[in-house]
Amino acid sequence: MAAFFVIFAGLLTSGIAIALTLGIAGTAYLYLSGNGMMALMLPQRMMAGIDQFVLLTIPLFLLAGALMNVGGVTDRIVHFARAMVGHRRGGMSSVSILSSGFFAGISGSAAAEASALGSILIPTMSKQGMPTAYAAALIAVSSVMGPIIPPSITMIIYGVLSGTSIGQLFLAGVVPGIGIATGLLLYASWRAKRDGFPVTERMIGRDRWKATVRTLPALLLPAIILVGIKTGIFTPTEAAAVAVAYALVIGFIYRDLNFRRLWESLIATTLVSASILFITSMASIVSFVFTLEQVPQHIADLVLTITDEPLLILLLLNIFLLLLGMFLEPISILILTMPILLKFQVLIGMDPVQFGTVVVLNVVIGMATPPVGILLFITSAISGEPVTKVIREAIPLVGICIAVLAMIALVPFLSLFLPKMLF
Amino acid sequence: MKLPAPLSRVISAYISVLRFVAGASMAVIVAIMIAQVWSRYAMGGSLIWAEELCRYLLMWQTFLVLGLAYSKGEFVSLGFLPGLLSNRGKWILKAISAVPIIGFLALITVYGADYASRFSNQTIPALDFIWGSLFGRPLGLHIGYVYISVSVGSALMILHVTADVITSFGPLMRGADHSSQHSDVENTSNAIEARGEQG
Repeated sequence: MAAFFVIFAGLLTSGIAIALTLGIAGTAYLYLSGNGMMALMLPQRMMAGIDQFVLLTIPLFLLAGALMNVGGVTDRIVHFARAMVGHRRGGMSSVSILSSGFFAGISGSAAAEASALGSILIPTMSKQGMPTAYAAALIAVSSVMGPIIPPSITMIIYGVLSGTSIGQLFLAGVVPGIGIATGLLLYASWRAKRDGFPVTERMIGRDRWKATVRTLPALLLPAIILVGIKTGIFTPTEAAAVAVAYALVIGFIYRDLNFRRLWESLIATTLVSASILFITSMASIVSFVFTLEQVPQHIADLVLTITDEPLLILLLLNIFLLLLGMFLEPISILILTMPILLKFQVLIGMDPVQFGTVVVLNVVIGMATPPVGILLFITSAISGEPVTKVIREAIPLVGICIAVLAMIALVPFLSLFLPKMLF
Repeated sequence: MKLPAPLSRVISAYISVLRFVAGASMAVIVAIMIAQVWSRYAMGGSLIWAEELCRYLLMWQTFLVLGLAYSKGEFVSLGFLPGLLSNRGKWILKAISAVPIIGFLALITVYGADYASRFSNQTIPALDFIWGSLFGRPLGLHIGYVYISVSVGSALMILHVTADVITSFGPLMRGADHSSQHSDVENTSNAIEARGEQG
């Protein structure tokens, strides 16, 4: 066990890609633990890590997001958010949070969201006189909503790996998503008042109405997906294809999409999806090695020697997942830890849907958590601000997300009332 | 680093082919899945081969373009060490880290081919079904042709990793900042992209 983490940390710090680090450390550990002849199984594990129908949601939701982006939907969402909250003090920061929330209803991925919105909104915010590092941090943390507000690639993967209803998980994500948005909006307006960010003038009524009508088709997507899954018209995987079709239709209706952009989006999406799927295939190598060594059992035993108090176990689990979330991408964490997670879910006797929501929130918040949250690196790269400055600005924002996480973990009603009501 | 013209042509052809495969396979996957929903909902019957074919396409697509994704810097890494080193040190570190990477990929290439070769008596059901409905007899393509993707992808990635080490040698040693430099493979692919966007 220890040997694995030493190798893993060594390779990671020397700048080898996370995916390759996983694969190399897993293979090395296999040999070190005397199971070298099992290496013949590795290619099979790698394929099994990709050869799953549900994983098609990754390229498809990425593609839907990319098409919305080149199809002018992103611009319209930002414009719509401006019409709603742009007139407030430091308006663009509220606009960013609201845009993230709406965008989350289209993309299922936080990284895609951070780069799509960041490139538009970070420059706009700093032009309005906000510190660029603050703008970058705000986009990074707001992007956490992407996989929490349905549709969500992370929740689909969780649902499939654990056997939890994906429709219910989607609905369970609505309240925490709104919770994070509200928390961030409150912080943004407090911050705007404290630092005296400028006020922009209110759009006139007719323009606000126009912005709403123009954006409505894009905002309908989450509803279409939820209804489609609920009524059984399509499966969650097929919902991703429906999202692509929908993005195509409105892209061509808005006339911002053409075949050249469509073709470039197809290629770009494939490259990004391949690098994510490579991580999942490497994660399944590690997961295979861990299972051989009964690591999940050992970790469960270890935790039980510390405490058998459900709340404390939950706290330990949260910290553990948050730590993993800083280094690894959510889907690979789920693949790696699912056997452990399911053990703990039974142990603390939490509702599977609530537990899933907590886990997903956890790993996704990890993506924005300093010092190594990947979303912070993405927005720092877009903004050109050093990541250390972005991190300083991100700390209170991440604090808000963790407070929401704590509430969801402690109060079952928050995540469960929507799924219970509608399913 | 300037590459000899024939090699440069080969690389640029290779990248064009990969980009075509990437775009086309993605388009086909989307088309099949939409057709699947459509046929079940509007025609009252599912395409029984759709899911299987999409999975195979996804595998081939992923492994084929991995190397290109690597060269284009799509792989996330968190290295702290490279940031502390001089340009020369960075290159040496890169060259050293290429050793375990290539070793691992070589292992997967060899074992992957071995694994795929064990399936010569099992055919691909989805293609058999489609071929059967079209021509009245199964295609009989064996499933090893799907599983070999892992091996092919790893082998291609070895080339990309090696190319990355070699092409970053010149700029780093001249003391240029690597982040502003691109390897030759990247330059070629960016040039192709630029051409595509104009067209």
